[in-house]
Amino acid sequence: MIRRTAVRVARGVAVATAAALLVAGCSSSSETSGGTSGASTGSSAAGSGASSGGAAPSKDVIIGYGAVGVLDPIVFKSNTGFMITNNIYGTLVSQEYTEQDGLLVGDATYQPELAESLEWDAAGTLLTITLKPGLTFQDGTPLTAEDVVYTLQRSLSPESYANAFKVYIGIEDETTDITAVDDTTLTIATQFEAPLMEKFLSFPIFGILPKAVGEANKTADDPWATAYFSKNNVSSGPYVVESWPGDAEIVLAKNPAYTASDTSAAPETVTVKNVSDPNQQYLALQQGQLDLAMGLTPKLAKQAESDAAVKVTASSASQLAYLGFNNADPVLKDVRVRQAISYLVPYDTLRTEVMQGFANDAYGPAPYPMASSLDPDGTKVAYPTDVAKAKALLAEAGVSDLTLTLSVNAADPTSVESATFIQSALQEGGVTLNVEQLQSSEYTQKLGEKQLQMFLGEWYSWGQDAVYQMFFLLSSGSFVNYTGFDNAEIDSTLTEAISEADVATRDGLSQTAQQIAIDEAPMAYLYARNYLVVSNPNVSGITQPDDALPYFRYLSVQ
Amino acid sequence: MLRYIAHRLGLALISIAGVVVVVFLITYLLPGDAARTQAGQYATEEQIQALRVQYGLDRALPVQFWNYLVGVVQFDFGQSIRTQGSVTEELLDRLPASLELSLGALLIALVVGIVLGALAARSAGGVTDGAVRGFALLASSTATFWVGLMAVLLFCNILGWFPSPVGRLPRGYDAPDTVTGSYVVDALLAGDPELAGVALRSIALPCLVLGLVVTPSIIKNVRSSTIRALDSDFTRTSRLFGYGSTSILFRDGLRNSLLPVLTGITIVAGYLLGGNIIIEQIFSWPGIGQYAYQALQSHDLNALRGFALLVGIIYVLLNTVLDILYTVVDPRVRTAPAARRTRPSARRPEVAA
Repeated sequence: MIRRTAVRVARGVAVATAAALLVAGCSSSSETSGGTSGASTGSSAAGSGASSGGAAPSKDVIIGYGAVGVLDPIVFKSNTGFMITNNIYGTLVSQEYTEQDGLLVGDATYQPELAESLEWDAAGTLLTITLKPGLTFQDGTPLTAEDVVYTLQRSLSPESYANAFKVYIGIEDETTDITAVDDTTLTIATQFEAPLMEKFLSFPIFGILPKAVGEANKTADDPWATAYFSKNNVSSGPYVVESWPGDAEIVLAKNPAYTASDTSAAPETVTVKNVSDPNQQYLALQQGQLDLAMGLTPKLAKQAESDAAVKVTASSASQLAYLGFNNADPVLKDVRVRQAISYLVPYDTLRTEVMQGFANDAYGPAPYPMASSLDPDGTKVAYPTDVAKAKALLAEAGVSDLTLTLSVNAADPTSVESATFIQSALQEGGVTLNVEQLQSSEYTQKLGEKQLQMFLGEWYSWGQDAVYQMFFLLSSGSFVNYTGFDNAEIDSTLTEAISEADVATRDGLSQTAQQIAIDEAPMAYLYARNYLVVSNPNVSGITQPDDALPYFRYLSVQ
Repeated sequence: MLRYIAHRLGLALISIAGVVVVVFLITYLLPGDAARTQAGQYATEEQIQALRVQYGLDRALPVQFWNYLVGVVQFDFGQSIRTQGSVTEELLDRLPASLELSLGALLIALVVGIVLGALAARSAGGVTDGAVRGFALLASSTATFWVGLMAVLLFCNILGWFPSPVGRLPRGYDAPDTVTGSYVVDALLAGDPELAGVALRSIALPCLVLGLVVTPSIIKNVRSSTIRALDSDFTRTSRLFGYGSTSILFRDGLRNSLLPVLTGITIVAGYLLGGNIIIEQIFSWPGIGQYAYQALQSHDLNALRGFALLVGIIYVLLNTVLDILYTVVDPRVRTAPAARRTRPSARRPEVAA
């Protein structure tokens, strides 16, 4: 009896499978033709059970990137997650863009978004923010000044990654310095005139969350409801989360309640798929399964340049790649040794071979095109490759038969490749370099604990501000100053620059600090990585904001 | 029989307990700091320490182990440090995708493995045998990652036979309502053969690649068992009776070689479920393999432990079921020495006098 039933089931499955294969064969040409934009109707969380049936043109965009992780802007775990929060939480102000060769490049001006106006008092230490009238969250509840205060206090709390930002915007105590005046007005009291305030308020980490929801979901151990906001979203921005079936993908749909700016031309839905392998991203782009790919390697991007099926958008950016020296190391604490190694690094080779040309020279810690950079056009070189100079410096330092260890993250092919070129170049100067490949977590741990003699690091500052960047990378108290560089002059210069409201004076202080950082060579400045997005040719409106992740509302697919 | 089953289940429990301990110790000894890795470069030392406290990483080893044990007994693998979600729920959400992929690959591996293994055994030492062994050698020595990538390039991008791997369904299709977790089956149950076809085409290539990767072990198993069976006394008797070579191959050779092959299939099934990490990553397949890969990248200890435990438990249970099945198929196993339980001798079929 059981056997007969099993046979029947097996036959049924076989017939069904054959039928499905037959149908698949018949429909094979419709979705693998490639290059056309398909029609994703936006899946519902439960699954609609109906297929949309193929490839009708639409305003739906599909992006290939990684896994989201969590949605809470103050504890995001991945660039993909951060990119999503950019688009689901509205900010008080947003960056303005200028079109350059088909790319919308963020400039130094900021326009009110959820805010209607921002006004400083005469002393420059009290900012009054008035919200636009009639703002609501996606669920229809009003967005008030209380929500903004709650969000800003939350974003500057000890639980938040932005806690360190208080020093840049002059806020001493977020619980008392930020207060609501009425439903549409709030004030922020600062210790000094904060030139970076507007820039910072445009960061997605200050995207507005609903206070009532946060209060309803907080616990004694989790006063800011990070557990809730990590998995749930009540949008105040241009998009809402329509479905999020785990790590595979997240689907955003336009937020009908969002009125702060015109999004009529924005894509109806944006799907971000977890396609973390760069090779797969590229192949899927070629087939039209993706419209945009974030995270392609320079080599793939170079290959894509000669591929008519895709478009490469590259633009100068200030993402600094550097060779870090442990400044406390018995050998490397001598500035002459650090300078010597800086003279041995094969900068041109790294830019052309490793980065395939998608990088500029990095003249110091604040490379072009960062405002107030000592390098106005991305061509200046602080330490040209010069073996003779390097040998002279090593001799002057009394160092011979030098052997050093360079640690790299084995999961980062760019670092691994760079290390090989650097090892070879240092050999020419008589320096033996052992390259140690470490697993990601071990690398991160040893880097954080300053256990590495030399390492390859990258840094990108959301604000694209030289003072802010150097304060993170080089000031003695910074938790990401992995080189352990400790210089009283640069500390005092940066501290003075942070609270300097006059642009010219501030730029002068910035450039003084940059010069110290070049002369002291706490790190070798390898190159400034380009902003790189590969897309289908029919995609336009790609943005290059200060935080280097696209804002979906500007995108369009023809 | 019942006593034997109880004995096997007891051994399974001991094995699972061993898996639980080993998984904890191995993940505990992994180099790196989970809290620091998860916190990322924007986190302060205080925030990193807070994460350690939140996830109990600051506790002494015995305390961590005890908390872990208490969770495992309740089938609670803890919270993922990467996603903040329940590891158990996330694994169970992803399991259907992996099962669908693994079962499809196993089916392909069985068909290809048994057919090629039998063909090789039939012409042992001949051209066909050499060709099959060459294929097995090539398939087992080629990097899975490379095979997968080349397969995508050739079959998706150049020939266009399969959709580009961006998940379980290509662009423009929504998932069917969940009944079994298999998109193909669920689409058929929903009366949507077109969607079933699309789902089948999406899973076909990863199944083929994964299936072919594990085929060599089945080929070798079938080939050697069949050759042994074809060299046996009862096969010679069949030849004397004048049976044809095809009949002998199937009746005496394959039929008597399949029992020991079952052991190999179990190993393959376990590998398919636990060892498809690379394939799932390449094909952006949202299964437990991809979950494990991301957990490993982000040093997500609870997620790693959950994955290893789930696969370990399934593997132990598979072996237990197989051992019990042996006793049904061949009662001699129950009383045989341990060495013979894992490799039962070929049975002589009844031959009508």
